[in-house]
Order: sequence, then structure tokens, then C-alpha cells
Amino acid sequence: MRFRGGVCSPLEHQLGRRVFLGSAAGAVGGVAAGVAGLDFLASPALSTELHRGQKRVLMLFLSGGASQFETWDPKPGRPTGGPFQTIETSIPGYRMCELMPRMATRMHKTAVIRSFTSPNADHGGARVDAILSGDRQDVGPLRTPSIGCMLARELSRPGSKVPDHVGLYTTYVGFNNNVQVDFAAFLGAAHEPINILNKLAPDDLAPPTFLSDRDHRDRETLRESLAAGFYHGRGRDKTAASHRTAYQRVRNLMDSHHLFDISKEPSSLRERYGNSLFAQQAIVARRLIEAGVPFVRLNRGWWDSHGENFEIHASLVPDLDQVMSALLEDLEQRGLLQDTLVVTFAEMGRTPTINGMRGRDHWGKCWSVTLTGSGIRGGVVHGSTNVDGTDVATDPVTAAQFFATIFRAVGIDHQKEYIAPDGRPVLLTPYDTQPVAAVLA
Amino acid sequence: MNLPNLEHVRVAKTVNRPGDFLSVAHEPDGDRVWLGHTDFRIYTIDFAVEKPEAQEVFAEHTSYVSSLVLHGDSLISASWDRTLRWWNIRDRKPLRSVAAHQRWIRQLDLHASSNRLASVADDMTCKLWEADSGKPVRTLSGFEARIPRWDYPNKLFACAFSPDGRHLAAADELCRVVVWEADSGREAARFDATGFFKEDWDRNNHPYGGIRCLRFSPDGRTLAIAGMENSDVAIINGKGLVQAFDWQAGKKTYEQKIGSNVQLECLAYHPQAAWLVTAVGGAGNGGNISFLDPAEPKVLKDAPATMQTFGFAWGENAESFYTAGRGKALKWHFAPA
Repeated sequence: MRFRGGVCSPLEHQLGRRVFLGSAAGAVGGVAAGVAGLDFLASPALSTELHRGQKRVLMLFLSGGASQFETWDPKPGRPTGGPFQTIETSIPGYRMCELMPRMATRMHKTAVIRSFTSPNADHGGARVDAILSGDRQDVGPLRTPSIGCMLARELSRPGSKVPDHVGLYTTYVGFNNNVQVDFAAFLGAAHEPINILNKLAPDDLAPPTFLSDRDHRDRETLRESLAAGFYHGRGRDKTAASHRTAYQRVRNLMDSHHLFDISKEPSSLRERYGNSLFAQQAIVARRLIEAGVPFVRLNRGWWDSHGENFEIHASLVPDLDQVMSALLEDLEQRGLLQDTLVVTFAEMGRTPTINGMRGRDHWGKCWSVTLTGSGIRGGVVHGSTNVDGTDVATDPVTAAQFFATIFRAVGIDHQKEYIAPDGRPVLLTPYDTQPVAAVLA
Repeated sequence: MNLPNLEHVRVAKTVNRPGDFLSVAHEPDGDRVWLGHTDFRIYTIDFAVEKPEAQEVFAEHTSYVSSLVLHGDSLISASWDRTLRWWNIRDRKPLRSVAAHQRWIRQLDLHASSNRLASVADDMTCKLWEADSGKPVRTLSGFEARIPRWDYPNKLFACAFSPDGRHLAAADELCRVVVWEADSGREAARFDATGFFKEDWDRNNHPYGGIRCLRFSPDGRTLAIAGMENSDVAIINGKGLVQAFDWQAGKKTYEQKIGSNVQLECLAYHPQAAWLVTAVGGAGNGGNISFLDPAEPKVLKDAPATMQTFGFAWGENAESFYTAGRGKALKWHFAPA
């Protein structure tokens, strides 16, 4: 990807450090990731804590960095404001961009944080890893897990036959080289996502045509008996255990193939979501959530509007509006929204300054995120930016606070301790991080 | 009349103002222009004075003022706020406001002698109006509302009357060009240009491109269109692209690529067809004002635009011209320094 104006360099888009995850992504949509990693915390004793009453999280990740001005925090009439007007919402006094009329009618059920702030202004690299794991300042060089992997682990159910963590990507930008892909770090690869790129289902879910399902299961039984012997012969080695778990995940995924098939969804529902790939992947995401997948990340890209910001947002925001509103309505009508937290997040926002290509560049200083559903008080607009959107005016919210809020909303103690491989305790969020109480129910 | 000498083209005067001037219209019999701005206001500049300044005159639009035309003593403005507004430039008072389109209005063109105004907007209609009264005459359609496959909204960027006023053309994001008979509304031609639009579903998963401006040749036989050759989306990094068509046959007769990392947003024939002028809107550095030989693909002259250029207007007898853009409005002439 090419950038001008000294904003991005190609190096920022060529990050491939998560080799172990990346090498696995090609196999069954990444399901074999568990083979290579270590699973420090997968012991049965600890896993009894994992059951969380079916709470789930669905993250809409606006990859590339959607503009807060053209969505949740417009500044009409200001030099930074752009051409779009604002519309009333169901929250008295709160106006949002005219590109989101559907969401505007249901904002009383959503909490907006307009004062999110992060040091990150990149698409990939260490600072994106940092924001995905909560911009923590308390762990030195230790790599801590991303929010998705922590949630997948904490919300997973013992014995579940569905995947714990699925990522759906509309574009390969943000996916290639793993620049924005969730990573489990010391939690172990079992918590890493099954990633699906540019389509609705992982590749090769069905057994080869020459192999019946019965034959496949027989082979799996044979493999498992051999693997069990290998495992016990290696003194219950964690890597061997992870290896066995990965195969079980493949089998479970094959048994879940129907979850990725939206063809039987009513046409009226599909029309409500729309026809974009994002819309179709959102239906898959809802099906996964409904089936009990604890964490689904729906990665909608590519918002990187260094040129023609307003044209790009005129195309993408109406789609976000339609898909997000349909998804929330669908979850609500199915009785799922009370136990499902729907989050909008990204790696960054976009600059107040409109550049010479009528674009907006990268911006971490102040942008917007939203929370809807489980544990959230709807109709709250928390924090604010100044009149031109160049800085937080009130109630700044860091990634650590945001993640603490997410954990709290789905019943997870955000100060829970993990034990890192070197033996030191690592909390889910840094010591003394406070969730944003104003948005919690 | 003697044709201006391209070798002498240069900026005569500059007026600076923060933000972007998006559109410019020249007031006949003088050196005054009217300009639409991203601050939602309309300005005037009298370049005849020694130190011209931008004077704010009208401030009732509620979004970008995307296009302006002058019709007698009336200035007609179009905005992303979906309205058309008529203003009296003598007493500087508003005349009327019309809720003209359902979506953002992108461009206007005027055929003064037939009293017809055309507007195009992202509701994918081209509307004809009585320029004097603002009364609607006809709504012209023929463009897809949505981009195929993933169903994004289409955009209708540009329109132009033929010099005799008998035909009106418009062009969209999908690079479809439709030409109508202005009097009857009957569709006279349609063709698809190629090279301006990229779907790019896999990389960015949104469309980008489109024809940003079009102009009939002085003899009315050729329709020139301009935009950017799409090699990427999200970031402007293609070459500027100009094509010309025998519009009645739908046959491409001309293609010229210009510079790199540029999107052409202004296009004008010199009235005597000595050249076709283009100006770069989207670009990192502003690019050039390029003078093209309309007879063959050849750049006759490049002049540094000194800004991203969003608006262009000929001056008196096309012996000068004005450009409007990023932070500036410029008067150009062809006199030796």
C-alpha cells in the first residue's frame, strides 16, 4: 500500500512477526494454529472457571480506521467537519452523521465513547499489537494476548463443540502479514482465531470426496488413540496436549459447517442486512454467536481514506449503518443481545485535518468506539472532543479502560490474574484500571 | 481573435483563503469571480483591483458549495446540502432556495440562451430547471442506483450541455455516460468508458473511481471526459486520464494520460478548440494545469497549478482563466512576464 504526505510508510504495512500464527493461517482457515503453540492455561482445573453463562462478544473491527467525523462524532460547519450533515438520534441532543440514519433510530440502546485515545496511528506493528492488547504500560517487553483471545478464553465453555474464536475478514489488507490479527501470546494457540478471509466459510470444511464421514471419524479415532499414547508417553507434555486439541478443533469445525451456510436464512432477513460481503459475514457472525461461539470478530475493511475520505465513507458508512442496525435488531429479536456484547473498534481513527487529496490521515488522539448489548447502559454518550475534534475535551478513555469495560460488561473480572511463562502475574488489564462506569448497566 | 500563446501562461494574481474553494464562476464584462467554498459560504473576488481579496457574500448553505453558475444577475449555487439557491449578485440578496435532490448535488451546468440549468446528484438523477425561475422542467434518469455485486451506492459526478443546448450529458462512478435530448428528455446515446473505475473487492472491498468532469467540444461532436486511471483505491495514485468519444457512435477517439498520483477534476475546451485544458483536483502536490492537443494525444504545455484545483472558469473571451482550489483562487493569463 502506498501513502503520501509522510503519513504512512510501506514498512508500516509489511509486518510479519507473528510467524507462528501466520504460518498456520493457510491451513483450514487457520484452524491448525493450535498445533504450533503452547497452551499454558488449558488445564482442566483452570478451565472450570471459564463458564460465564453464555456471554458472548461480537466485535465489529473497522479495519483501516474509520473516520469518527463521518460516523459517531461529526463536527458540521467546522473546518474539520467535511461535507456531511448531522441527523437527530434517539438520544436527545446527540446528533450523528447523516450517513447513519438506521443507527440513529436505535442509539438509545447503544453507548458511544467519543473520547477514546491511544498512542497508535499505524495499521500494523508494535503499536497495533499494543492497542489490541490494551496499550499496556505495565508489562515491559512481555507480549500479552489480544482482547479477542482473552475474551475467547474467558468466555469459552468446557466441552463446547463450536469454535471459541472466529475472525471474519472482508479484505486481505489488515489480514496479510497478520498485521491486525488476534494473537494469544502466552495463553496458547488454542485461543487464537479461525480466520476466514473474503468469504463466508473456512476452506475444506467437508472431507475429501474419496473419504466418507464415517471413514473420517474412524481415522480420527485411530489418530486420537495413537496421540493419547504419545501424550502419556511424553509425561503429559503441554505441546502434545495442544496438538491433540487442535485436531479436535478441526473435527468440531467440520461438524459446525452448517453455521457458515446462510443460504437458508429468510430472504427478508438477508435483505435487512444488505448484499455486501460485510453484511453476509455479519449473518454468519450472528449464526456463530447464536450457536455459542464466545468471541467473533468481524473485520470490515478497508477504511484507510488518505484520499477521497468523503467518497469512501459515502460508500462504506451506509453499509456499516445497515449491517450494524440489522445485526443488533436480529440479535435483539432472537433474545441474544442481552447476553451478547457488540463492540465497534478499530486500530485508530482519522485526522481532523482534511488533506490535499480530500482525505483524512491516521489519528489516535481522539476517536470513537461503541458498545451495545450485554451489560451496557444504552443511550449514553460518554466523553467528548473539542469543537474541531482535535483533542479529547472530557473523560478520556484508554484502551485499557475500554477493555476493562468490555470485560466487566460480560461478567469477567478485569483484574483477574494470568501467569505468564516466566511466572509473573499479569492482570487482564493493568493494575488499578477502572472500567467506564457511565456506560455499564 | 488571436489565440493566446501557451508559452506565456502564468498566474497573474493569487488570493489566499484557508480551506478549499470548490467552484468558480466568472462574471461577464469584468474581472470578478464568484466562488463556492468548503466552509459552506460563497465568496466574490474582484481581480481587477491591485490587491484582490475574497469577500464573503452568501452564507446560507449548510454544506460544501460544490458548483456555481452565473445567469444574468443571478448566481445559482449547488451544495451537498441538497439545495439549489439563487442569489442576486447586484443587491446581494437571496432569491430562492429549492430542495432540489435527495442526495448531495455534485455539479451544475448552464445553457444560458435556452434558459436551462442542469444539476446532477447522488440520487442518480439529472434534473433540468428553468434557469430564470428555478421551476423544474424534467428529471432525467438512466443510471444504476447501486454498484453491482456488493451494492454500494452509485454516484453521479458530472454533467454538461452541448454548445447548442440541444443535448445534455451526465456521467457516474461506474463510468457510464448518458446523453439526452434536452428538449424532449429522450435518451440520445449511452456508452461506458473504461479505465476510470476499479472494483477492487479483494483488497479494499469498496469501489472507487468515476468520471469527474465532462465537456462537449465546441462543434458538439465530441464528448471529452476526465478523471483518474485507477490503479488503486483509497489513495489517489493513478495517472490522470482524459478520453474523448464520438458520443453518437459511442466510440473512443482519444486518450491521454497525465502525470501520476493525480485525479483530474476540471476540464474545459478553449472556445476555438485550440486546446483542451485539464486541472488536477486530487493530488499530493497539486499537479499541473495541462493544455492538451485535442486532435492527437499530446500535452502542449504543463503549468504548475500551485494547488489542488477543483474549479475552473474562462475569463473574458477566454483570454484568461480562473482556478479555484486548495487554499487559493488564481487568475491566469497568457501575457509575457
